[in-house]
Amino acid sequence: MSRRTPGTAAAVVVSVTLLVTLAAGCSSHGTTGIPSTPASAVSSPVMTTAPAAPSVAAVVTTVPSAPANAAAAPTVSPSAVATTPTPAGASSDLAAVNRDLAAIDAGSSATDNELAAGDSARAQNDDAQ
Amino acid sequence: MNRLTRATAGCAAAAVTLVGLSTSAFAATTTGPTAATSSTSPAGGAGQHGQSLTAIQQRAAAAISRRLASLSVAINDVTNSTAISSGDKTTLLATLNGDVTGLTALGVTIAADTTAQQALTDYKTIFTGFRVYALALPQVHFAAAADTITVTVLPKLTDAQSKLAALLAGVDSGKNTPAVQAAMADLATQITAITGATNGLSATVLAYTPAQYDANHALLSPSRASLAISRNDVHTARGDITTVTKALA
Repeated sequence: MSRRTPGTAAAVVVSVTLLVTLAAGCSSHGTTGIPSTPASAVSSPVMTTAPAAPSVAAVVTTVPSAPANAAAAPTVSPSAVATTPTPAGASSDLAAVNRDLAAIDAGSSATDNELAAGDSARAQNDDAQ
Repeated sequence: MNRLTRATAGCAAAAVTLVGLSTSAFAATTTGPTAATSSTSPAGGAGQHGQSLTAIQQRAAAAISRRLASLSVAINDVTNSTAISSGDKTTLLATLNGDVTGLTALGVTIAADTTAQQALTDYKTIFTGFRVYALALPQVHFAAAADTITVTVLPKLTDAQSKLAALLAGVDSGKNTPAVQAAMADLATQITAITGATNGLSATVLAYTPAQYDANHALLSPSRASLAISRNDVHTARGDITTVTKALA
């Protein structure tokens, strides 16, 4: 029995060490999925996985419905969404309006010429002399 | 008017050809002016103002020739015009061709007159019966001006108005400032005014007759005034459009 005692003690120490190691490992894995606990001392060994959490958070902030970014979203997304499809349609409409203006100018000039010609005809003496 | 200017040279020759008939008739009579005035009849020697028959006939020939040349140019211009409506073209060409026929026949009549008194009476008809310069040609130009506004300018004003309104109601709603709104409101006002002033104006102008002009020499003045006002309204409307387009640029 006395010969077994040191061996048993050694086995107990090894077992306890393994258990502690396993327990630590399990607890650290459990905290990596929780971004809200980065201050945990246990999570420090998991800092290598931390970058993944911020990247997920960044994707979430691009979603307009994210309440966390409600203040920032209105200043950026409305104008960006509105102006993106605008240039093509608005510019073509303005170009059409400019063509209308050119036609109006041509018509105005023709009208002026016709009025001047009519006045010129009227200015001629059309009575017997 | 540019179209008239361009066509003048080409059509003058044709008009001179038309006048040839009447001038040759005059020539037949006036080759012997002395004989005509002294041998036909005592009354043929001098008209109301002491003019000889030959002198009256020569003046008549010149007046008719000038008018036929002008009418020929006008007929060509009306025929080739893209501004004058087809209905107005029909009316104008009927008037102008009728004047050509009437003046040509009058020239033959005057050339055949045997008294200065009769020639003078017929000579006056060149003016009172046709009013080529006082009425017919202004009818051409004023109708063309009215049609240009109604057929060309007004639709473009309306088109620009609707396009700008759509932009201001949509993607450019943020640029719909009070100044832009005022310009758009004035544009609508101008379009309404132009539409009202030119509606039926060419038909009114074309309906006037030499007899009406003889009774009222200011016959065309109201129509001419309406055209001037409309032309000014077009200018104002164009300024409104420019104001809005600059705001949207």
